[in-house]
Amino acid sequence: MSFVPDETLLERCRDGDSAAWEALVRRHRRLVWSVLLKHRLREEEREDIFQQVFAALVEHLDGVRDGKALPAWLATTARRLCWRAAQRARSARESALGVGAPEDDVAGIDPVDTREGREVVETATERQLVREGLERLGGKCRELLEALFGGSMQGASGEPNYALIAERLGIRVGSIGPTRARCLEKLARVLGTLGFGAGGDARPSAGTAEARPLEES
Amino acid sequence: MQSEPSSSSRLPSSEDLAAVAFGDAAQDVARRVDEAAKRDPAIAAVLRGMRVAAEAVRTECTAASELEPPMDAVGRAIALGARVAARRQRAFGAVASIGSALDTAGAAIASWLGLGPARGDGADAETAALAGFRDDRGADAVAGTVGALTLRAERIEAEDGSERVVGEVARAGGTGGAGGAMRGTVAALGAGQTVLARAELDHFGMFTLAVPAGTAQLALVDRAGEVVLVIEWPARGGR
Repeated sequence: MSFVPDETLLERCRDGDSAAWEALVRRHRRLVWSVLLKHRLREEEREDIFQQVFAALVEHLDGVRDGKALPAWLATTARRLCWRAAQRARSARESALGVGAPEDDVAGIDPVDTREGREVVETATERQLVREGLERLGGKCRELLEALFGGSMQGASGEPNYALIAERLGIRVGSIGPTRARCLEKLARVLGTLGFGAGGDARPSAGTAEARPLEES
Repeated sequence: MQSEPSSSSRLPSSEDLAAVAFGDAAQDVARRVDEAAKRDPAIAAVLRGMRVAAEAVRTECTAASELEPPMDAVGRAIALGARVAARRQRAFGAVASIGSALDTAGAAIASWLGLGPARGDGADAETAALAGFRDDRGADAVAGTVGALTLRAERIEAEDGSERVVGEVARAGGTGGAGGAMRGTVAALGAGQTVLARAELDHFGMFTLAVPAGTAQLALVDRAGEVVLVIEWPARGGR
């Protein structure tokens, strides 16, 4: 199946296509979760915020029209929701302990404008580019690279088990080397096109999307 | 996965570069690639790209399972698709209510394209306005009135099998001029009321719409986005 860009999926969602929505959620689930993992949250809080991020996207479907900005939008929204949750938890703790104004020292700070915040969002969006690159590669190339790098088909020595990989993929052992070379070259080109490693210069930031990610209130 | 050793003067192959990027190149191959990359910026660029790609995939693949959210959470996020689907129902939610209101009032929606020969006032008069399609294999002039709206149109099948509908929507009493014309959009709806194609009514309330395969209904949408008329689109062979 050919790769369907985020922009197209967003457009289909705006037309009420729930299958396109499912594809978007599946594609970006790890991106959102990776941001949530950077924050000390209870598992159920994390799952709640995961929901909230996608619920926010449903609400802002008309505003998020630039598909290329979607990963940054999701990561930024996730980051801000985590920040809010952490603040609420801290506020509750400090109120219980009778400690002064809980939000004084963080008032006015945008969690994405901190160095750590930028790193979290940039790392998450860069990794999403790799996933998108692999998705665009598709077919045997994707399967082969994931088998070689994923570690799920290793021999006892920790090296890839080429015989097993060849059998699973239905190719000859002797063709793994040339295929790997072709696929890596192709992936390098795809990643270059996507702006991977360009420090976000090649892709719009979340702030350039028509709808800004959920703002800190 | 190593390449055959070869003399240091030979240019490294893509396989050699990939082996270095992957990290399983034999020492002599790695040395040869390194030397070649120092001499040739093009080789250095390819090697750099492969290394970046390899490292990125390695990082992604090794952490993939750690970054996987619980299936329940994913399932609940996917279930938000019901809200997405509701957007379509909001857009065309008026369809059902209009249909039932018309039924209640006893005003049948004209099955205007399923009735064969032209019927109603003005159908013949439209023929002149619809000139220019003489290459078409056949055409049905039709007309119908629902509430205050009068719709006159021709359904046209071209020689290549494609279909168009060309016509006019006017308010009752209008003569097709701008005074009686309606502004809005005519949309071809597929199964599930997805919009397959649409065409704006022009200043005179006239429209031409290529009707895609799979069209089940035509909807008339006014400028405010309200669906004011829905007509079943019968399969051509079924008439």
